[in-house]
Amino acid sequence: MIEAGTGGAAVCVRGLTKRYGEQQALDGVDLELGEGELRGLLGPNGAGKTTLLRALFGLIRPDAGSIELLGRARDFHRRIPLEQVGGFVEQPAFYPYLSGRANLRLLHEIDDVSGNGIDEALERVGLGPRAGDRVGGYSTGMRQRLGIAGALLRRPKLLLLDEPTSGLDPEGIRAVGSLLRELAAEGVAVIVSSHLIGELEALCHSYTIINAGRVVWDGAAPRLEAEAPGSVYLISTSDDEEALALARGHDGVRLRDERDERGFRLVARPDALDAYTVALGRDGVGVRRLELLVSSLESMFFELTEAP
Amino acid sequence: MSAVAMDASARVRSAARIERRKLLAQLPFRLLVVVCALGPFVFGVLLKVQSGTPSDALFGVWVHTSGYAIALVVLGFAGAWGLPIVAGVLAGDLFASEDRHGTWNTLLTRSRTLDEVFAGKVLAAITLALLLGALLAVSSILAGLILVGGHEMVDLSGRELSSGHLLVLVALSWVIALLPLLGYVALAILFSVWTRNGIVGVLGPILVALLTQLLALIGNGVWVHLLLLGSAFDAWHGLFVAEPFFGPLVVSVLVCLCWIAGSLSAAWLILRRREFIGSSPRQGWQAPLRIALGGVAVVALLALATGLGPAGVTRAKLSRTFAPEFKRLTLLQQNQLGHPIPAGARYRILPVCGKRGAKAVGPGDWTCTMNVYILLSKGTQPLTDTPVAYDVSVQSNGCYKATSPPLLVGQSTILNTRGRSVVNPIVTIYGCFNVL
Repeated sequence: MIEAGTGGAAVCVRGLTKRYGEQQALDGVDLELGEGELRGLLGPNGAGKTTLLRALFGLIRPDAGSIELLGRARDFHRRIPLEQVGGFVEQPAFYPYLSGRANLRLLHEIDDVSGNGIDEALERVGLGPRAGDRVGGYSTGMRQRLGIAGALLRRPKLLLLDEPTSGLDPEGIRAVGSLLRELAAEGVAVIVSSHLIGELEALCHSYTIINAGRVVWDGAAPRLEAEAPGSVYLISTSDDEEALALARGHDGVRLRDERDERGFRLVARPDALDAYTVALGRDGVGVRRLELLVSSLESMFFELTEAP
Repeated sequence: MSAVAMDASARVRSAARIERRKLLAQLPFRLLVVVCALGPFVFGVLLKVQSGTPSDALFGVWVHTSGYAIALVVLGFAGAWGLPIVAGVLAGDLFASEDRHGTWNTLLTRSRTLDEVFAGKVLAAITLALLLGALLAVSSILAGLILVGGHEMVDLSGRELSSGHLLVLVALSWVIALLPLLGYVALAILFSVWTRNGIVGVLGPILVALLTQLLALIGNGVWVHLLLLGSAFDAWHGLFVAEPFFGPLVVSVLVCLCWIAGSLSAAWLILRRREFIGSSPRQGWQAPLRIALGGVAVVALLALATGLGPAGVTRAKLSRTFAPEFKRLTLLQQNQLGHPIPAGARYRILPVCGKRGAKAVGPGDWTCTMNVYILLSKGTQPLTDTPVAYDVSVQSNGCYKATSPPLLVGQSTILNTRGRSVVNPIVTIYGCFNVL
């Protein structure tokens, strides 16, 4: 099990509200995050994740509510940057006519920090060999990694990352996940947003699910496991009729309607699935294929956000 | 690594340093540097290889005589086009490029406030504009001195000025031109912040320069002309006359400061009110179209207002200025030809000026006839020489170019007493008077 740090509140948001014309972007959002906690901020596109991160960064003025970061209240009128808060919102953007290293050098000069962690940050995100190339020639994934390197330059105690794995290949996604866990272990509080639930599955200590500007679920990963309706699996056996009959009478296993040539689908928690597969074996039914289609986090997400 | 304590001014200076580094890395700025450094030399070389002169520009006929004329012709062109282009290219994309690259979020999630970023960008634009202006000035003076030489030349009232005197006046003139340059930089910043469109930011100041020149052609009143930013580039004219006038210079300083303060304040207020909710800039032609329509409305109003205020160009001012200048230049010509007037003799010039087909007021095409009388000695009857007629093109800034046909004043070049071909000083005469 992933355990969060137990320090003080790194983020404390109360009643945050923001409206753009007719659109209610944020509607009374509360959020609390401890030091060393890695929080997944989930929601469909347009749910309000980016608006929330913008407000945390002080890029927009909320209509109501308050934000405290690392124990300091954010003043929305003076827009004073908060030290030790790093990250990016939307796609990380850089000057295309400068190299990756030159971009970081600029950012380092903007940051009021001593020392030079540019090469270390570049190495940490795996961009060392391409650091001298112009950013204009970088792929989306490389820009994401440069964005993370830029955030690390600030030696943040709070890291806010908006879809940092967007555009990364599976290896890149794994590397970012490992890095975020490392940072959290070092005591950095991290909020990482995504609309792709699978990318954050089993990564975060806690999750906040947001929909239509409201927090619809907020809690630790174990609680989510407990409250989630179960994962959806595709299963194919040596005798599907027998397997289906067994599933209908099995505790904790629920059949989904769809059945096709690939097999049938069922919803179950991990322990119930274990018991069901053992029962299949006991009845002489061989399991030929077992595939996770929708994780418990995704199931929860879809249920809460009413996605199909 | 630890936080570094910096006061506000250090943070602004640091932001300016970053902006300068960004500008220096971009091709348009590098091209500007090259053009400012080499442009006057290229211009000078082109003049050398062809026999013609840019005679429509002040001091244009003197470009083969004195290197200072090259510097002043370049200054004239710079005031009309060059420096507004420098301002546009330098500052017109300064803010809009952050929208285009989506880097506002990158900047504003670091350790600088929006105010510090704004001040840093403005400071960077101002320092680089001053450096580019100085580079163009030094380059144009050097080009003139190297390619033609620092020879003496007549000023705008017919006096022959020494090389040292000219150097001081030319340098001062370039210094005077730096303030309106900063005015155009402020205007480019306003366009850049307001429209978030680099094209409008770059072209805006150039369009304003064009409109300034168009407005200079109409209306007899001085107020609108003096309030235009581009008119401040003419403030140096008052230095090049026998009785220097500083009224337009003082007004231009005040006008420039108002433009700078107004443009920067408006840009700052627009930026402060802005929320950074997306990386995409305002695309398309909506912004340029709005600006163009707004510009047309402003120009129409200004055009209607160009008659306001006292007339800057009048028959009395032109006659009062042109006659003594003609007299000095005639004496100079006669000396060059080896016909100095006899000792004790004096020239008296009675000018008759009028405007073609119109009331004798305002800029446009005038004619002046110089009736020349020679008083050989006190008490004798004056000798009447042939009247000399000039076509005089007078601008709203009080400067004029007078030309007379060779039949009356001789060829454009004459042989002086040393057998050298020199400019005939009374064929094309440049002058300026105070419009205030």
